[in-house]
Amino acid sequence: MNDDVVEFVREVSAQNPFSCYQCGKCTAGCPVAGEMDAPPNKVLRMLQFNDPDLLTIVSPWECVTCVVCTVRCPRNIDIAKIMEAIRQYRQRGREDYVHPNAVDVADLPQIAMVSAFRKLGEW
Amino acid sequence: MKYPYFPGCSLKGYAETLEKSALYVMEKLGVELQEMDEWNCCGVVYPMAEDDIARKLGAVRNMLRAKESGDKLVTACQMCYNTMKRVEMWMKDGGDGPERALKYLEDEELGEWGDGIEVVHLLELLKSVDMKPVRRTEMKVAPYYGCLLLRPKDVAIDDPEDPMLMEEILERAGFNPVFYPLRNECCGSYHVTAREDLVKERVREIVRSAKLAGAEVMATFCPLCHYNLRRYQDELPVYYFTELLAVALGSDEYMKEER
Repeated sequence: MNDDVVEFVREVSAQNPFSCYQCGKCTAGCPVAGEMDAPPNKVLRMLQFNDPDLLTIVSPWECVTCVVCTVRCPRNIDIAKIMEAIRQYRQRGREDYVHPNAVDVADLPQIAMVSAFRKLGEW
Repeated sequence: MKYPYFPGCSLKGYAETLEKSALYVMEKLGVELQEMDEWNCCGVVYPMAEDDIARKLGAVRNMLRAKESGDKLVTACQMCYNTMKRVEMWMKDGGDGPERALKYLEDEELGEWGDGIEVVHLLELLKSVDMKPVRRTEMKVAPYYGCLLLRPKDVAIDDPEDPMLMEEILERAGFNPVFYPLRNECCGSYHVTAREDLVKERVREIVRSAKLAGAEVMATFCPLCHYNLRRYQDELPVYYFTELLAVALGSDEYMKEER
């Protein structure tokens, strides 16, 4: 695993964050941008500058993989894949956002649990 | 017509109404869905990391198994559709990843990948079948697409920004579909496990949009959207898409809840 988060993201997402020109369409369409400490376009900017905060922002966990950003990007960057790669970097470093013990699974659909633990749990 | 069919975990649990009504509708329309043998988890979410091959194996295994009984694999769950369709695309792109995936599965003797198999969603089958409703309710329905049938573009079953497929089918089945802008917006999905606040806010906006358009009920194909839309609001009843069709085709079993 590449220790450098930007290199890791480039490798694992197969996307180039440097082709982003900050038009902001991803953030405009993102249903959870309002909750994020760094909305999608800012995350791209942080990658361009190798900002150390990439390892602490909550945004990648809040991203819900609805893929609107990817569909609308005029530079054809798969931003959802970039968010996934940042999550993966942190998940593989034993970080999680949801722990199975903390979820009340009583009546949830099966797919809710599996998807949450895959996206938000330790790798 | 007969197709192999992949139910997935939720249709055998939380979303059994979806499976029951879907099978009823397809039988009425003369399409036989044969549950495939020995299916396993589809993976639930598509593993987007390029190096994450292990988590794509479940979907590859399902596709290899289903290949014996047809060239299309039908799903009713949106999550299964999206995950398996994306894995299908990934396999068809070729290269080192798919080769390694097939190598992992070699010992299981599941047959050759060849040209693979085409994963299709039930809605795509409904597009081309003739439908004669026995009752026309004219009920105002807000069809809810969510994300997984429309994004990303290469697995979209309709225009990701302006889908019409559900509306067309509802119309043919004697319903009165309403148009509302948030029909393809995310419901908050798996955040129901950790960020209820976020899901509540999404659901509130989506339902408000549907209500403003005059909807009396909402219809979806996704078990998780169904759960979220039901749990976090009580203004509009929410049903599986196939429940509505079942009623139109003569069943008295569905859409009976008082809400």
